Amino acid sequence: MTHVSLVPVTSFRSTTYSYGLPDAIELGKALNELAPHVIVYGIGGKAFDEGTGLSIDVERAAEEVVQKIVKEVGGRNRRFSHRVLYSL
Amino acid sequence: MDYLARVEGEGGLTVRIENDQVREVKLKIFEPPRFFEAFLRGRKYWEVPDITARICGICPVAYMMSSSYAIERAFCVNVEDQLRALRRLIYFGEWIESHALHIYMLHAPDFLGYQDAIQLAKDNPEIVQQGLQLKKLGNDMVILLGGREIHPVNCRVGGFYKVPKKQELLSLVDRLKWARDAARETAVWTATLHFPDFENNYEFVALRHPDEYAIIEGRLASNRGLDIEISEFERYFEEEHVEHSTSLHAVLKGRGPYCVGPMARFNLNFDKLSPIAQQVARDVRLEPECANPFKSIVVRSIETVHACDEALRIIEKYEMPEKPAISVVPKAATGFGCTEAPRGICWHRYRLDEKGVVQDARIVPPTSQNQKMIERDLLEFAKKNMHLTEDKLTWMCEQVVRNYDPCISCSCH
Repeated sequence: MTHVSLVPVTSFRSTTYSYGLPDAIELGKALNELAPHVIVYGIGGKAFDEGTGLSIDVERAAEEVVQKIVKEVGGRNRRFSHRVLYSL
Repeated sequence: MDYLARVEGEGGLTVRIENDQVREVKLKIFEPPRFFEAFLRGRKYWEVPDITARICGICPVAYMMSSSYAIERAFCVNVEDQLRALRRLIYFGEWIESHALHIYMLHAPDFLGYQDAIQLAKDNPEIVQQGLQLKKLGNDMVILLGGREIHPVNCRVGGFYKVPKKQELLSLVDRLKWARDAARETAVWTATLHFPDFENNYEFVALRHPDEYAIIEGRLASNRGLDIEISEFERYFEEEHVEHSTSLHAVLKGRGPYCVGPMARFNLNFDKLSPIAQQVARDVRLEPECANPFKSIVVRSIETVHACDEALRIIEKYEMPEKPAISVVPKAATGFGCTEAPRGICWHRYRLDEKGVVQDARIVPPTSQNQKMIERDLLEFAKKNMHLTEDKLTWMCEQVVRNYDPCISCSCH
């Protein structure tokens, strides 16, 4: 399922630490430099404890994302759609 | 103001006014300290530049250079000729990228009435484009010499792990010529901005070198007679803890706050700027002594002209050295290093044992030194501008802080 929403932007209105991908996209748009179609693949983290390795869920998600990217690149001639996926 | 906008790191400010009197002024830094000095203890000398580079993503070269010089001095080694020139070149790359970031993305929106650079870009894309191109050139210079733009990996005690061929440096020439012109345009443009009528009484402190606009070496000097070796820093300066900041405040002993950074360098070393940069300064009618901190945006632009011009000169004279580094032999000693980070002097001291293991380290970054002067500016600015609405005064006080391009993460290293 594709979720469509405005990209939330905090930008340099707070610390530069908060400057992230959404801000880069918005800046690209403002400068007319953004590619006509942008697809962002994201994987939400699962475990952040000290010394914890990659979780099984994230490992599986990574595989899934790789397959999706391969499929997307392979089908580069078909029309893309805007998609912003913050987590799987 | 709980969170300062458009600064590196996390901080806030308080200006408390009661009955038309400024009762309290605080630059609040609450970002957690990282204790770099503590975990440097026990590390080998050759690890220090790479570890200290992690203090800052904007000015890692400053930490690599200050630490390398400190250790080399401890081991009685001098890095000279082309290796020294390459160190200046990578440092100029850092100045260009850091100054471009602040001029265009962090500071310019203040003067033009925008909340941030994205809003600025919507109305004035050409301004932001120019800033981004300048920044990219600075980044690319650091990549070429340092291996990558953030936390470079190619600088070491004694020089570099690998040095570039002449042809590689020549690839930068056309872009540097463009950048020198763009920086000149930037100085002309920023000089037309509206600057509040405000000056403060500063003791400016910067490195001073007999032949160069000091960046990697020099004596510590001020406009009030200070003229000392960098090894004497702790005799003249001290740091103190205040409750509202996780960064130590630095003062000149018995004299109080002082100002480091572009304004200090410009005022103390104007005669050492490249002729082109000096001419640009005269063209925009900005000559020492400049005591209006809002004009630091113009000074950064002039320093960017100088950085591009000097970089071109270094590349023209470059001959690839036979070895990328000179060898060093550890010995038990204490060494001092001080270089000019984009935001001002970055002072280091290391005590090493006979195997070159760090026994003790002390690092004093520029923003921690400027904190008290920022508070002094806030106090004087608020006193003079209490007629402004609360919103306007709050915005302007934030701008007073941004005049210094503070790097809070550096300050609470």
